Amino acid sequence: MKNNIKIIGAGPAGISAAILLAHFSVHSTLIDENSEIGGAIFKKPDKGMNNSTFRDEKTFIRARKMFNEFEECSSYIDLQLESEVLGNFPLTNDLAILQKGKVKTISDKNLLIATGCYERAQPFPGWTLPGIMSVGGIQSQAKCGNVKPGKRAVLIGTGPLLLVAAKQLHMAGVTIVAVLEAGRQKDIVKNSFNLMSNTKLLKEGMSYMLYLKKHRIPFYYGHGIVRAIGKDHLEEIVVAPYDDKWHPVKEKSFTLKVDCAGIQYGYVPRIQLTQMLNCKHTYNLNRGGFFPVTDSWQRTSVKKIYSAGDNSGIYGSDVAVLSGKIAALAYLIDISEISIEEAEKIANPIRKEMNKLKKFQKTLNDFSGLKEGLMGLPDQDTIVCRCEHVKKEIIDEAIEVGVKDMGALKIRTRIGMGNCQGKMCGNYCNEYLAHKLGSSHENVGWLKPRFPMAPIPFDSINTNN
Amino acid sequence: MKNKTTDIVIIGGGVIGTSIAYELSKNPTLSIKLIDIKKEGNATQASAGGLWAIGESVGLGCGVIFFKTLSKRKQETTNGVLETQRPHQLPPFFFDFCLKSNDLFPNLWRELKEIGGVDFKLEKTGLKFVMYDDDDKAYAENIYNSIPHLQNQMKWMDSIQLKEDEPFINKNAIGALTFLNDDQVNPYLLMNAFRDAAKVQGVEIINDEVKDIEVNNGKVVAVHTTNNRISCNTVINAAGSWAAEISSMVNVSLPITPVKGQILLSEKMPKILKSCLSTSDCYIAQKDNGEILIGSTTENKAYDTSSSYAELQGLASGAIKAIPILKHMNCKRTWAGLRPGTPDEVPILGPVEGIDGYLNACGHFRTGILTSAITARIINDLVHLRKPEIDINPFLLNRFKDKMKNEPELV
Ligand SMILES: Cc1cc2nc3c(=O)[nH]c(=O)nc-3n(C[C@H](O)[C@H](O)[C@H](O)COP(=O)(O)OP(=O)(O)OC[C@H]3O[C@@H](n4cnc5c(N)ncnc54)[C@H](O)[C@@H]3O)c2cc1C
Ligand SMILES: Cc1cc2nc3c(=O)[nH]c(=O)nc-3n(C[C@H](O)[C@H](O)[C@H](O)COP(=O)(O)OP(=O)(O)OC[C@H]3O[C@@H](n4cnc5c(N)ncnc54)[C@H](O)[C@@H]3O)c2cc1C
Repeated sequence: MKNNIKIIGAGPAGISAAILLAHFSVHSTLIDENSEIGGAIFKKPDKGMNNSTFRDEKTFIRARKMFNEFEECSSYIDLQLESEVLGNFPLTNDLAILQKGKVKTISDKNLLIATGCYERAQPFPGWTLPGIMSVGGIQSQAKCGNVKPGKRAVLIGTGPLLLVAAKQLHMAGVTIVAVLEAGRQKDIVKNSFNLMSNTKLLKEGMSYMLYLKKHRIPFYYGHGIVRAIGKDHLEEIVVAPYDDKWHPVKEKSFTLKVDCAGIQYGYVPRIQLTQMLNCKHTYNLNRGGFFPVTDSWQRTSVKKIYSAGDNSGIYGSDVAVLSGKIAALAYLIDISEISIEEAEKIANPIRKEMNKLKKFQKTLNDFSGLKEGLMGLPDQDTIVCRCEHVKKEIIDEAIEVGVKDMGALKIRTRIGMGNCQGKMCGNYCNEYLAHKLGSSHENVGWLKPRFPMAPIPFDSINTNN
Repeated sequence: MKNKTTDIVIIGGGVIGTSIAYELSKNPTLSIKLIDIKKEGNATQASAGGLWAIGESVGLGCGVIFFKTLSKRKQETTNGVLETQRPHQLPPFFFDFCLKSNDLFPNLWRELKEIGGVDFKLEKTGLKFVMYDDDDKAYAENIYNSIPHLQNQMKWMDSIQLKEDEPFINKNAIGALTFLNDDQVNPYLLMNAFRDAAKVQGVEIINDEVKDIEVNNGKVVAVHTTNNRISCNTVINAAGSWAAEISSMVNVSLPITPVKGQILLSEKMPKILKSCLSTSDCYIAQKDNGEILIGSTTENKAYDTSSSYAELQGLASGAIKAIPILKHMNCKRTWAGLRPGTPDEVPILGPVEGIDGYLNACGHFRTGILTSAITARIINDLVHLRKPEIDINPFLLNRFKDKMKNEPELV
């Protein structure tokens, strides 16, 4: 194969890129750790599970369309599922991939990184209690339909996913005690004009709100988490109104009796690979913190490495589809498969659509963008790094003795030395350090990811028989 | 205050710089500043933390990979013939240096915990050289016979004793030679412990990069950092693999080059190893929190600190051979660090002719964790113009004088 770009991540961004390339008869290798394509939003529930809830969604129709298109292009796409990219070996220009229990290497040239995002973990007192989940976690349980996450649930955080999850859980037979959105109603009303830029998404959002209303599910603007209480399992959640900066107004707090809670304060781009590949990164809290810098064609600062979708800054699945196409066009230009003029012609309407969507998203961010009050949620004895059981007070102590960046914080406290390499606590710690020191997020830096990005059995790199 | 001259500026805050800062801080009349900026690959944070005084001196631990053992070499030579080789051993004064340092640790542990509050996790483990075949045995016998005065610190184990002691070791191992006092610490906690205790005792820690050293009439007068000029009477070069960069600021060339070492780390596991292990492939140490650390390579790759697949495979395969159940355990992280290497594997300590107020404390190669304690005492003596408890001559830079003329590539 003459030209072969490796696309890491088979979500909306990666799939749309592969499809566009196929339309130009250009081959690609599409790599994803899951057993199905689709990424975070279109991923089918595991085989054999009841997915009736999922079928109901509009997203399913979109997914179906994309999967069909993908099928038609399959002769151009070498699909490698259950293949986890674990990092790179720069001296040999290799990328390491775990496949069938063994690590193998492929060339690290010509990469489109479309690894999507994680849900940002928000520490608060009691957040490690069983029964507390990320909204994505709770959602995937609801989608499967086999196990209910609980009987009485609350959804707390910010952003439209709270509404989506509330509906899905409710349809799966869970009582939704309340949905609490940290953003304030006046901020959304103020910007309603901008939201008109995407009537489709606006309508979708409204339909979710109507669903809650119809089923008498209480929805609170300007409210959020304070703490979770329970002995061995979640029993109660304390919530409160949030002020302008999202500091809870504790005098007005109240308690909800629930046995499960979905918490969601923001997303974080999965940038471990672009970090390891030495791409330049920038910081913007509203787009999830650090993400690789890209030019108008989704090229990163490193030659022949492209980034698209939520990996290149959170903008949601619709933008992911479009940015995947732009990245594919960039590759076609770079291998002289099409001229810049030709590419521009195709890109123009895509960019126009993308800008419209980004405007919508920006408005949502103004409403939903994380605020500094969240940093004060943990108590002194709240665990921040779950892998190494590092409490908030240990982090404060470290700051007191002069720790100024994430590397020093790691050596001092062991944050990020656990199995997740800081995927959980890294963002909170960066935000907190920058806030406390009045320093920039760039200066505070990040926890350097290393091979393997996720734990692997030693046997996977064993060469004895 | 601003223009006050500092007595001593220490450049580099790894285990060596911090241990010196701590030792010097026992004298309350000295004003001391430690300047450090953590560079990618600094050795202390990457280290295994073995206090393998005899093991490393006879070429085990990191040394094994440096000079592969006989059996390993035999496997690799096509015809299988190779004359019996003596293990790679360091000179007797180096044994002394290591053993003296090792003896200091129990007290140090108490002191540092009391003063600065950091527990650097000193564990009595011993180090076992695990033997798989007769060649390994011949190699171990060579070691044993070459240091008769230390035989009370060594113990032979046959395969039955070994199995009893370490039930998870490869059933085919024929025995082990144990070094009873070769223990371990947590290396970065040791550095934290030195630093915090030094701080309590008045050392100022400055997070900055040294850019230049100002010399006037052959005497050091100030250190320039990115942000400041710090006037001082004495500088101590403890900049690890970057020591030659620092010495060039006073026109001294040091034959110190970075020697890359890679490490693999397991997830936390229940305690399955009593002692640290060294085989002809790798060393294995279970740390106090249950993580199993596997090391290490010795590579000349300049300042590169990336992981590389072939080397990791070699280490992992060696570790699985030694501890078969590791196969099913997870590796959660790999990294690499830069040992400050010297041509004769011996550190470079003390003054340099022709430049006043400059002291070397660098080139600790693969034993800087172990020898940090004694290094600090030697430097402390030199600062106070006392004769060190160990003969300084074999550690001085001028030992390379003639060689440096003949082998200019070392400079
Ligand atoms: C848990 C969760 C639930 C969400 N639910 C919704 C929703 O219901 N509705 C909605 O509009 N938006 C949702 N989003 C947001 C939405 O996922 C994104 O906007 C959109 O999916 C982004 O598409 P993408 O192609 O950039 O990334 P993704 O869809 O996330 O796809 C990235 C893919 O790459 C894979 N991958 C990542 N790293 C590696 C690696 N190292 N090796 C191999 N494979 C790798 C991932 O497993 C994933 O399959 C959700 C996000 C998350 C995290
Ligand atoms: C993989 C590996 C395993 C090892 N295992 C063992 C073991 O088991 N037992 C053992 O005893 N030893 C071991 N060692 C060796 C030991 O780690 C080193 O000998 C020791 O850490 C050296 O300490 P140092 O302070 O001289 O160097 P470093 O720890 O590298 O410290 C030097 C410091 O100086 C800083 N610096 C450099 N230039 C400047 C500048 N211009 N301005 C300011 N600061 C500067 C550096 O960034 C660094 O922080 C191992 C080493 C490696 C790499």
